[in-house]
Amino acid sequence: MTRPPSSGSDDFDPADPHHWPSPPEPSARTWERTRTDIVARLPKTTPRRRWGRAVNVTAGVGTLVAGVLVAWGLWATLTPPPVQLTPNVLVGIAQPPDPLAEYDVLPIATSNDVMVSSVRGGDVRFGSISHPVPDTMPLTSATDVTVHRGPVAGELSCPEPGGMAVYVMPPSDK
Amino acid sequence: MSARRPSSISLGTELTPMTRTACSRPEPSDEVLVGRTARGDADALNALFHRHRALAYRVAYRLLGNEPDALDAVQDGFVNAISHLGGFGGRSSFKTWLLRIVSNAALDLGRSRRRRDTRFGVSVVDELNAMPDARSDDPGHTIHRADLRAALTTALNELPTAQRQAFVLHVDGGLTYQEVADALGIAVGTVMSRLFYARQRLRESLAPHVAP
Repeated sequence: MTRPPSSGSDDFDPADPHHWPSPPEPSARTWERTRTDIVARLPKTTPRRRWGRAVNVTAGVGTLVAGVLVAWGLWATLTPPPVQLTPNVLVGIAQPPDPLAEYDVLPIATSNDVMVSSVRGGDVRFGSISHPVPDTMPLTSATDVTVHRGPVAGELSCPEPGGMAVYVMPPSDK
Repeated sequence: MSARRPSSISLGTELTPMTRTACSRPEPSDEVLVGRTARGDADALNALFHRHRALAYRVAYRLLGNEPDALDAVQDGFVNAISHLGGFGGRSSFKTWLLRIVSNAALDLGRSRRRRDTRFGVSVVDELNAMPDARSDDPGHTIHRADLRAALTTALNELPTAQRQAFVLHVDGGLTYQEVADALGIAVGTVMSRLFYARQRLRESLAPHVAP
């Protein structure tokens, strides 16, 4: 929206600045001198500066890329090679060593090997209905144990008077 | 087979000379000229200068009030604009961008000249405004016009800088509200407000110069 230049002061109106008197127009010589001064003040090396800027940008990018490559090479050199992980196959669960492996297997006593003659404290009901000794069994104390002299191997001995004779086998050569 | 001359034209008839219409090429746009100038094309720079120098001078003159300072501001503005074409992103027109630079240069120049004039106790603006226009034939008319210009310069100088710049860009630079807003980086509403207050103050300042 370019306003038409005003011509003079005859139609001057401060409320309408578009009719204010125009500034005096410089002469053609003045304009030419102004243009010459502008050209003289402009940098002469505008195209070269553009080239120089392009060269600077290219050099900067090249330096950056080279730096990244060097850093990557150093990183690759200093970093140990990754551990080759092989998939683990579950062969089995290691069992703890058997402390009794060197000994013979002890047979577990069965009902044929045990004869219950009597149980102190009452009736005993056999079977799976109730435990023959339901309560906590008290540990044997010294008053309950009578230590006798051991039998002599190879002879019959009677640990208790009137009791069953016991024959102690002599130790074998094994 | 020979061509026959039309019989309706007598020998005494004066033929109207055929008007030669020159097939002039369209003027390159500012964007094209700016691009060529950025590549160092001197002709494009001259074309830009010739296209926008009058408007730039008008804006600078309104802000400074005299021809030499206005031409200096135009020169500074063009040099700054051409030197920093890389910063011209094309968000506004080249004219808007140039007028903003020229007006800023004029305001800077005005501030420095005022400091200088205050130091020496001389107002160059007043002296130049008091000089009659040598190109006019009517001395009385010339003096009246010079008085008006001096009064306008004084009234404009009394405005706050922001109002003065917006006012001159709109009135003398011919920029729309939106273009002034783009040039100064302010909202259109702010431009309208500044113009309103500028007009109000100018009306008061110039009231004695209005013929009853």
